[in-house]
Amino acid sequence: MKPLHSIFIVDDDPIHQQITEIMLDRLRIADAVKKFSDAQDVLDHIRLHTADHDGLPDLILLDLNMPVMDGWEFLEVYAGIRPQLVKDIRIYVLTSSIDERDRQRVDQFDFVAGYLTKPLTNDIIMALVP
Amino acid sequence: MATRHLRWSGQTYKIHELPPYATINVEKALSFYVPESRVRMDQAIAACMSRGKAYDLQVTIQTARNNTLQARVIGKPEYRNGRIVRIYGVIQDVTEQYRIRNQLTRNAELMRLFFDTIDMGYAVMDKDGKVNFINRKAQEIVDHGKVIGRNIFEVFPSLVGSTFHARVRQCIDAQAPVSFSNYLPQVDKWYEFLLAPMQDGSISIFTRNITDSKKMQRELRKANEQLSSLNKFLVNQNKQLEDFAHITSHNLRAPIANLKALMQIMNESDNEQEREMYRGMFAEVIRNIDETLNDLIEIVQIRKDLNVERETLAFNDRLQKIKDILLVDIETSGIHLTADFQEAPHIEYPRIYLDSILQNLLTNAIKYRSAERRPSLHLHSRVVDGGIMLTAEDNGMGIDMERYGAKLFGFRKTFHKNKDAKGIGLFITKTQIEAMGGSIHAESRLGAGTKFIITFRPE
Repeated sequence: MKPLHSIFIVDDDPIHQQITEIMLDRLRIADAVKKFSDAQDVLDHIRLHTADHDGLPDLILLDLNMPVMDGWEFLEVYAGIRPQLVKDIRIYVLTSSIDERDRQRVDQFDFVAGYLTKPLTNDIIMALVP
Repeated sequence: MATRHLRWSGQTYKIHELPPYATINVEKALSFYVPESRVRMDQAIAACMSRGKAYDLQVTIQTARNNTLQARVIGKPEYRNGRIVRIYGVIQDVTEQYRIRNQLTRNAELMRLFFDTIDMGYAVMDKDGKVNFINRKAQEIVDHGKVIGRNIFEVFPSLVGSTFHARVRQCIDAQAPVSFSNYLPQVDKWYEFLLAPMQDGSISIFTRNITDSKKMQRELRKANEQLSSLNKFLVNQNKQLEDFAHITSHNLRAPIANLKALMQIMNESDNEQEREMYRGMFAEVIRNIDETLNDLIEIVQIRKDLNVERETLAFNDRLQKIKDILLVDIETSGIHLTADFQEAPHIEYPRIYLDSILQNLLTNAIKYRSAERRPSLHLHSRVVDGGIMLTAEDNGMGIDMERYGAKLFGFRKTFHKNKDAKGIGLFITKTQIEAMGGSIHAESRLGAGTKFIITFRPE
């Protein structure tokens, strides 16, 4: 039994998605890893599974810079849905930005578990495991 | 005459400051006159004696007490039996009057000097326009021969019914000073006027040439506008630089992070097949970085090339060129392209920029067409205050301006899933427009179409 049941990778960069999936698989920390290019799709999925413990991910790795709907918009909408969810999802922002202003802006969402800078390393990933 | 006996009145003695009824004779009397006056008196008396010519002279007398005074002497002949028997007359001390008259003359002279020295034109005219006094400066300004004594409205008929005339009336009616400035087109000069009513009913006119001052005001205003403009431009430039820095850092940082991660997992792997896959991913990321760098360089180049040559271009010609280039895409999409450049057929602009802008507009209209109708694009140009406005209106998918308005011209900011979109077309277009001092913005309705409005500014 792996430490986490499911992890969602939300990022429009396919290379990054692939690399992260490989790293997560190698470290064997989740049963399932799902890749999303569109944050809207993630919200739709969550809305469909608000009461489904297994359907909801344990962990979301969220990029900030995405077309159509970016990380900020996702967080705003998620903040509204969150109370209805049957389980608490740990959300980590995973971005290449080192801009202090982005970090501060993320801090305003109190349900965000952490702010991570790309690239992911094995150490960082292991620290995500409870 | 016969006896040459001279008799003086008591007052006469007083004038000469002699004790009354002292001995006096003609010789002695004449001795009181200063040499210059003596000469004239001798002549006058001689003329009176011989021809009976009356005299009325102003002379200078030195009294017995050595005081100088001005006197008026009048002499008349008295006839008896056709012969002159005596000369009689009066002498009057006119020293005071003389002094006052002198003072007045001197004052008038001083005033004239004053009025001629000041840098203003000064004139006095009566209610009807008759010029009673005019100083040198005003005479120069008028520059129309002698005006003194003449009516200003006769000398310059064009003044009748003019602002000047109205102000004169205003001054008279209100019996209050009136000041105003006036442009005289005949001499292309600006003058400032102050009209002041005087107690005797005439009007004092002060005037000054303020053409230089006005010109300077205008120059100042222009300089101020230019500075304001430059300021706006610099603020904009600054913002662009900040954006640019932000863009660069993100768009390069992300792929480099990928390379770092790839290195890591490549090192951890000893499976040749896997490593082969990683090498492929490496290549793709490097290609991505390369493209980004090229895009950024192109944009920097546009900004740097501020000395790009403007030339006279005809919109129709450039559009035709673009149509030739995009022939295949036009045919495939079936886009209905119309243009009306009648109002502003030409523009002074760098050729490559204009071509690039037109191409981008057409490409976008084709790319973002609606599946529900035949795509169309209409281009229109017209002259606006300060430049030329070009609009490009299509009937495509449209954009949710509320949501994406701010991202529309951003660098690599796409907001739809169109795979062809790199998100820099409009960014480059915007840069090419702004580098030449123009502006672009968009209006759009989702599902209906998009309209781009470009304002080109001349040099």
